[in-house]
Amino acid sequence: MTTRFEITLDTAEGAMIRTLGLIQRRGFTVSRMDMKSTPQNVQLRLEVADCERCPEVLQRQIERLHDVQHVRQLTALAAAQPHRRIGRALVSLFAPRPRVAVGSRA
Amino acid sequence: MSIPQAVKQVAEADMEPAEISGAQLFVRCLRELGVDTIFGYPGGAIMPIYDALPQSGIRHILTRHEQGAALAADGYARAARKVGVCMATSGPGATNLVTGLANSMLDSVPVVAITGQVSTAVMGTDAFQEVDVFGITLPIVKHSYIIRDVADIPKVLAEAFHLAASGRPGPVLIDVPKDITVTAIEARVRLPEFRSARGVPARDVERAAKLMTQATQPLFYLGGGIEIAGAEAEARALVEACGFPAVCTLKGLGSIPTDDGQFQGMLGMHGNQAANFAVQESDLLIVVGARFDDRATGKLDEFAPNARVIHIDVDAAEIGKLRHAHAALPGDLKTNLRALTGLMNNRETACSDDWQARCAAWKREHAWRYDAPGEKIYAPKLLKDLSERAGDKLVLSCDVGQHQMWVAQHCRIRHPRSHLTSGGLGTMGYGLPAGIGAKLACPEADVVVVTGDGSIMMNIQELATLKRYGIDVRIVLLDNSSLGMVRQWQELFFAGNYSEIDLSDNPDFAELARVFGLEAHTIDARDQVDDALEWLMSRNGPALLHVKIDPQANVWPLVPPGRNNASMMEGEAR
Repeated sequence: MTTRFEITLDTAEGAMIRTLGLIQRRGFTVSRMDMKSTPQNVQLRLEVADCERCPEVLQRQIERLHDVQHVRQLTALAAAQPHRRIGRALVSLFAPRPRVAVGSRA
Repeated sequence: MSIPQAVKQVAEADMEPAEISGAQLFVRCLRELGVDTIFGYPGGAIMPIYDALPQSGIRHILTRHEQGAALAADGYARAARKVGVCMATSGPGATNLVTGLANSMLDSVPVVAITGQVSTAVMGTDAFQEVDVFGITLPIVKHSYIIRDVADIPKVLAEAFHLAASGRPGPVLIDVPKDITVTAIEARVRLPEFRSARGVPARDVERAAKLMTQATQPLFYLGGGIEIAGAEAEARALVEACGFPAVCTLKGLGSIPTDDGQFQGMLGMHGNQAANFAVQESDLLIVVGARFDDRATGKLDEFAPNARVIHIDVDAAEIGKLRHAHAALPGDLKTNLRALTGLMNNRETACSDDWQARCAAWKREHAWRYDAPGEKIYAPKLLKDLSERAGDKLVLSCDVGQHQMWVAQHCRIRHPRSHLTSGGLGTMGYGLPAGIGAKLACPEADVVVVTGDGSIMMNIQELATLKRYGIDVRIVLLDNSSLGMVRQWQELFFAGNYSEIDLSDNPDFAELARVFGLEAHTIDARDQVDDALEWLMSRNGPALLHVKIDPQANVWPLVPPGRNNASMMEGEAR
């Protein structure tokens, strides 16, 4: 599944590479990216292909970066799925969770 | 005021230059931010800051390697519960900080690292001792800065110290190009103020209380976040109010005293059976300040298979990262624990007598034994005796390896800050510099470094720091003439193919310590232990006790890699 994020960053040294590096290190691959820079901020629109991990957790990991003003998860490209975690054996225990549509700074 | 005094004051005011250097401003800001100690090592690009340091009133501790400075700042921060500061020059000085910063990142320790950098005009030209430490450290810091304008110094420093200590703490790097430090600027310091958001209980607190009320086999799972948040009293109040048994992670040890009746033990790879069985059988885990680290959970798919989870953590990004939370309380730990305790104080719970009895039985049946056969020194017994003899002022600073696990298993730990250990990164060489930092932060504490013959050699040069400043740290060096934990794994999981673990050509550690100016003593038999511990704890300065133990000794029990926590191996005590 591919997930789209819209991320607004401070115009600060290293802000974009810090964000992209985090996404990669957390096991997601950026498959498409648009970027627009203004003196006030930097806006990124990303498509990330995930592995087995939860995009909501990735969103919260991005949100806690100091340079990140705002993260919004846009519509996922595949059908919404139950909350997933590593560990298939326990998946059946979990009730489906609605996707978080709008994030705010932690 | 007399006329001569007034004239003198006017004259002194006139002597205050209108402008100072960036380096002087930098050091003034550090003072204003409450920095009293810096661990560091000078060099070319950082020289202007070192030039401003002697008149500042800030104590500088010259370590003998920058890694020692970073780890000492980590130990200082943990013991003092304030931001630790380390400093190094550009290039190799900066890269030598990297392991220490990663250590602080993995264990959420507030550290500010200051690095010199080549001048902005030559950055990016492969100048002498130029390295992109900002880029190198991006994954291992909470945040980082390159100061590009001397006027930014107060704002960057104030923000860096705030970030390092607020929320989930972590290391922050400030890279300072040399030209910034020699540029003149107005002398007046104006530091912006940052305030942390006030904590409010998470919305799920009632849901969490309901789960705790309904569970018949509930268990607390206490982690290092309690110590980081200073929420020890709040955690203890909740555990006491509920009466449920509690297990601790390596970093959570001491959240409740290890001799408390509700303490079930340490869970995980080298946890005890009583703790791991309780986790596996529980129907509710109340996870406080922990992150389901793989060393604690074993095979994640099979971890606590019947348990619902309440996850209480300052970092919302930890919620649901590895295990779904049926109730999540992200945010300020103290606030959430107080709110939950308030709800639980007046509630009857369904926690069954049978569950309490089973937990007690596991504790009784799997209590540690100290009757290992033979005459060789049994390290777990020595460590247990050490911790009981030393009393409540003891702060243990561990290195990494078998001895680290023996300390966690066998030492009496009454507060989390009395046990400094490299939990996340597992940094061999941590113990000695961290112990130095802890002793300087808490001079009244009895700081004992527990190390091994592999680990001590990683930062052996810091014995010179102990001697130079007369830092009263005692060292217990458990010497099995090998890299014991690696040897144990090779024995158990690599068919006894011992590869590069032999350290039988170690130096004479007691003699080596004496060369550095420390008192030292060696023992190799069980009947020498009592006198040796008495000798160590009665010294008047830094001293090293060299303890030769059985090279074949292993840490038991052990959860094999890829197995669940109920699958513990046991072996011979020696």
